[in-house]
Amino acid sequence: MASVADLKEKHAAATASVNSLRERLRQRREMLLDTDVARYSKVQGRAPVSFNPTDLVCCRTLQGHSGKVYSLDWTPEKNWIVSASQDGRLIVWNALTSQKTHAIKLHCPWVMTCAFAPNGQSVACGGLDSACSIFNLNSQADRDGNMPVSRILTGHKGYVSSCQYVPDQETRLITSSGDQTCVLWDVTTGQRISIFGGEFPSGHTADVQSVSINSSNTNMFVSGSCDATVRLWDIRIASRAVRTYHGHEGDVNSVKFFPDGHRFGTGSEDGTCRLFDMRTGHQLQVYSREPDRNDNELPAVTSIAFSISGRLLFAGYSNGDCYVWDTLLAEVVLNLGNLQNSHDGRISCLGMSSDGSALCTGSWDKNLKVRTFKKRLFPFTTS
Amino acid sequence: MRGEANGGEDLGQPRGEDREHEDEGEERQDGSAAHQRQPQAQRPAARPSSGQQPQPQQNPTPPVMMRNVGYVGKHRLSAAIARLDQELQSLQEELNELETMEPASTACQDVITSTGGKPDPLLPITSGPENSSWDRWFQRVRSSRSNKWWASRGSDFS
Repeated sequence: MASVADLKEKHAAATASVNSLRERLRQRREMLLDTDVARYSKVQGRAPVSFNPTDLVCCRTLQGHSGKVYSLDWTPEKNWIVSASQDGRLIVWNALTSQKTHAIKLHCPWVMTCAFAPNGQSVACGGLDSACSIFNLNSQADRDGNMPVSRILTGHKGYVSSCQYVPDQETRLITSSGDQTCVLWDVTTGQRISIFGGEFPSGHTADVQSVSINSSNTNMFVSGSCDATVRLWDIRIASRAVRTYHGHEGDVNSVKFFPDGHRFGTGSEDGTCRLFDMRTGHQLQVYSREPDRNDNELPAVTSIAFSISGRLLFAGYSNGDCYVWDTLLAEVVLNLGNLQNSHDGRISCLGMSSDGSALCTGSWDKNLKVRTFKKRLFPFTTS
Repeated sequence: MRGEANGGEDLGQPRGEDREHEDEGEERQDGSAAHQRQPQAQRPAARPSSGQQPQPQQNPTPPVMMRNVGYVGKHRLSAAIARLDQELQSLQEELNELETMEPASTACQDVITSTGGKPDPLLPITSGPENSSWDRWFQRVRSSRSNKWWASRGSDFS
């Protein structure tokens, strides 16, 4: 084997080559950015979405957690929501009636994420125990009223930051982790099917915070990381990322596919959201808030969601704001954090109901809130 | 900022992860212990396994590891060089791709077109038929736990 000195020289040379090539790549990409979505939309004469402050009403406040809410997920079919909290519990809510259908006390209280299975029969959660626990909602509680775990997915070497079931597949789940990898699991056997990153090159080089599976092509998912990049993965090819997306200047806290399945949105510690084109890698738009008068650091984006058409981008921030961005014009058209009946703390998570009629936000104020557009038909039709 | 600020590996400055200080063959048991360091009441705002503070260079390593420093150094360097070479390859592939790639405007047009596709319940004006189920949030629902109509406590209307 060559001497350490030789290797160090080789390493330095390789690093310099990588840096130089990255810079060339960056410049070449910049040349291809002939416009962004906002400029293009303005040229076409598009007008921004216009909201009255009372248009997106808070129709439910779900109270019951005794700690900060960290994560939430809707069922694909019914109007149920699962939420995870610092109080060490998962709560399943019927969002229509505000009732709690399940309150699950977790073995490991440091939970960070939760998800509903596609059939609504199970929920998954994960956190600082570095594992993902699955609960079947039809199970009987034991004598102490605790719900038994039906499966624990172990193997991660760091905290589980995010989890999502593969749409239409009750048996498969993808997790992201502080160990810099994402994993595809078989829930029925508890086995890891594939590991994305880690020992293999082209994986993330820091904690992974978020995943989003493409519902138009469930073989593809994106992951956002503290290495400030997003990576696209094909679940059939774990050995390398399909593409890496650069642009953010801080941890990427949240990633979500755009409804058309060809783009995805991101939210970051750098205070911006971005829209990337999946296939080409182009950064199509930056959603950047105005700095405040005192020029303080921008609040971080904690979580994002698109409306069902993609025209609206909802972004929760660390200071309690919840901006509604017009995706096309890159303008803030409403701040849900500034309205009557807003949360009293940071928005940590948000999610859209499957029919796009309601947005749920979860907050460090321990509550969840459901917002919908004000009634369009005659009010209070009795059912 | 964590991660790859300049090029591939930054071997001189461990990225604050416990596993940087372990021998290659060792299991990463310490990784999970690190997570417990975090203040227990909160989700780790500074992520548990990749702190920003560089670990002190002079780690109290047990004597057996001192003998292996040379070997571990070469091994890690070679692995890092291999990773950099693979990254070089993939960057070159991407550069080649960009030669024939269409500009951003094509994708921008697609974005605009796609947002007009679906009726959107949260938009003041939306294309396509409105669905009456969108208004289910305003219907009074009889709570099964009492005879009262569902109370609108915590909502914007009563």
